[in-house]
Amino acid sequence: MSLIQASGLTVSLGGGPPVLDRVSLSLDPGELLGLLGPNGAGKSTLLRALAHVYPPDAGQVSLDGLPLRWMGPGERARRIGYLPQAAECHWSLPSEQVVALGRLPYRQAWEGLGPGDWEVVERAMGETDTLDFIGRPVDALSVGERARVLLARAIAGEPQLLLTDEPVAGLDPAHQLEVMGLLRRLAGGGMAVVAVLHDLGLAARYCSRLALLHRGRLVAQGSSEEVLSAERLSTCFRVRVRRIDSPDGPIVVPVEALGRP
Amino acid sequence: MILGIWVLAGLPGIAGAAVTAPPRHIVSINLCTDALLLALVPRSRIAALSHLATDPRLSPVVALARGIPQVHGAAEEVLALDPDLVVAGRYTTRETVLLLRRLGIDVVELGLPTSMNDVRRQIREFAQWVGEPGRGERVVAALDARLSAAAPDPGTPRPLAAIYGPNGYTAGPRTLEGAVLRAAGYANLAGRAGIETWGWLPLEGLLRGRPQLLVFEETGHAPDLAHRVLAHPALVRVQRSIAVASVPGRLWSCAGPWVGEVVQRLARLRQEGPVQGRGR
Amino acid sequence: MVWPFLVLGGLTVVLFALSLATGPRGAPGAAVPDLRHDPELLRLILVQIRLPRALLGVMVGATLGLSGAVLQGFLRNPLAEPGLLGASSSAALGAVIALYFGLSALFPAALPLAGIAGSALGLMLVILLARGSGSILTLILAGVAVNALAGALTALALNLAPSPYAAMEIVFWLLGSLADRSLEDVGIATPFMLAGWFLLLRLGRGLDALSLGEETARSLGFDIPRLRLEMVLGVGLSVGAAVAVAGSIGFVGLVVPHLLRPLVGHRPGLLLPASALGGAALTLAADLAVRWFSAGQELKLGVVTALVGAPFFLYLLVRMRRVGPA
Repeated sequence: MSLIQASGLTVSLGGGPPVLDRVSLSLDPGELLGLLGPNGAGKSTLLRALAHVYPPDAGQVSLDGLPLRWMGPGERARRIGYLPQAAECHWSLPSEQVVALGRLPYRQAWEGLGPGDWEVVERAMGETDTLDFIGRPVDALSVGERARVLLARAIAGEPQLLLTDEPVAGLDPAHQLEVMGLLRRLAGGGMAVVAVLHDLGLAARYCSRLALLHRGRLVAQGSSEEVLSAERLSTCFRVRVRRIDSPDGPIVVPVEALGRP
Repeated sequence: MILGIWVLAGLPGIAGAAVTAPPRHIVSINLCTDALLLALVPRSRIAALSHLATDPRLSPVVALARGIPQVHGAAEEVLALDPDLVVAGRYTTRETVLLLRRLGIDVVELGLPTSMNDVRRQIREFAQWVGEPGRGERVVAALDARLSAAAPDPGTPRPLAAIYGPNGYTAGPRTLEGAVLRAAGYANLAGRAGIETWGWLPLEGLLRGRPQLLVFEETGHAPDLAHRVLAHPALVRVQRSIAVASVPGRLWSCAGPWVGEVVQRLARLRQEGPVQGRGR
Repeated sequence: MVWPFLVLGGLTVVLFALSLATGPRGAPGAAVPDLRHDPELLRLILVQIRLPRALLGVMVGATLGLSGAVLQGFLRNPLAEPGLLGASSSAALGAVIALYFGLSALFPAALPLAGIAGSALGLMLVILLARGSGSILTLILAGVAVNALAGALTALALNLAPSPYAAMEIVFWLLGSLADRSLEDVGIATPFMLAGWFLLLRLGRGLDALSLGEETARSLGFDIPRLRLEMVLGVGLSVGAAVAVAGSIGFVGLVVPHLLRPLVGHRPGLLLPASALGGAALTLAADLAVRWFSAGQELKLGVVTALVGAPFFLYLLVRMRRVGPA
């Protein structure tokens, strides 16, 4: 049985058409699932439903066979790491304190962090290449540096399932590749990772599986060849892509915007 | 019309003018002048009093004032009554007084008394204005009789008294209340604390002054913050060991014969025992 | 991270002792016997007059500091405080209705309870009005609206009140005072303030998590709607009771968390107890200033805190405009 099983997830806001329409998917440890789709397809909503941040109107998500809504909030928080889009930190905390916030689900009310916690924090910062930022206030970092610190926070929670919404937005090419590589490594280490991505090329190269959302429906799941077919891309993204197989992995590049159907 | 003739006859329309014939339609637009009017003038010559005259909280002459028409003090109301004299206080609305004078009406103003001499002078002056000098003298004489009965023996030490009202208000020597206290034979804590007229005496200051008589001004019982300090536990406790008197505020806010009553009451506390002067 | 607390705690203790040792100005001068020779009077003054004043200085100050820190942490906005957000003025409205229309004469706890009801309602209204928008402007405007409404209704209530003193007493409700409070005042307000503190101090972890935004905080296991409810109740209870006995004292909740934030590493959770201590210290200091500088009339406590706080507020606004919209 898969680690994560989501079935029939439906979310509707107000009286309009559902933002998510009976989406079902499953994920095993070790998989890096790329969640793709045009703007407004419902990707962030799906991520929030998987994280149980905003529970869905219908359907359920189970982790290890246990439905999320039956789990206590603390256990959910320990098992699932969630990193929203354009995440930020409102106060000028030192970077290591931001990462340490990831340990909150492991701390009781008045406890501080123990040495074990700080080891995890250090490790998370090491993996995200943010150790240099220790002691520096997080708002003094660049956008990309800050994004890595916030990713470190999510990793510091030692989750079984990591859900990240556009983890590479705003990063320079080097860091984009590094973060995608990190996500792949984390998956390789036994985590299940879902990443919402806009860059088709990165998705094709790094993700073990892709899922395509269009108007709230899951229209395709599988390998990059299956999901990123020409007709899918023209329908959902209204682009024509060029696909090249290279020693570095498949390269998928949008080359032409297509008109309205 | 008649008004105009009086004005043309050379009466200056300002305070202090003596009228040749006693005025017969007097309108009062001030509480203290209401009270003096009732004390000195037959009711038939009073055209109207201020609406405060029958306010039981404020007026020393509530019973006497019943049955006499009232005004709220607006110039229109006063004009409608066609008075030959209007009596007001120095702190009555300036606009109203000026307007009435401009319209040729005789307006006289009573000041704020700050000593017993002021009280006597006001009674006499007012009596002149309303054409009842004889009656004025009689009222002053009665007041003097009460005052001398209340006066302390010279050479005996004066016990210390403090007036305490809502919001910790106290009255110093240069106020009517202070004058009453002095006439009744007491020394005034407010004066010792440097408060000459009216002022705020913090509770601690009151206690540290160790008065022998606490005089509360009674001003009615609607709930508010001002009265909270009067119910403070420290004050309540202190009242177990000193004499306490309660004086209705209306009895000493205006100059008049009723002031003598208060003086006598307070003096009796000293003369008959509860308050003894200590060697100070 | 312990030393700021030690310093703040020590400062509070020293100011408390100074407060007990200070009388009001205008106390009788030459004719007053030395209090040392009259232990009973000394005890009366210390216990019945100065002690309640000092105690309320600590408790009201701690309440204001703590509430300010909680509001700033929850709203992720350094310009939040109970005064600006209408919690104080709504509390004053409740208290005025209870006091001047005889309810508190029926049973004394009606006064703080009415203050609490007013405070909670006012705060809920502001939060509702500013919902969704995280901008400072919307929040402040919502606070202005509620303050204006509460202020107008308070003035109306005082005008309609039976007592002739009522209309003048609006100064107390707008500016606050600790003068001549009694142990009874301490007694009716303390249980509610403590209850409020209990609710508020537990919110530290949640506020830390909220640094990362509401969604992340939810994913970390925090129930944000419940946090908001506990915050409204906690602020309502403590600020409501404080205002009911001391009037509305502004700016403490704004200035203290702001000054102390760098000392606790900007961590919202640690800022809570620090702001409580800081608020107590600031209020005691302001109350000392009131007594040293009072001339004829009593100088209201809120005047001193406003003289410190309003320029500070302006400085914050100017600095924010220069840095750019948050």
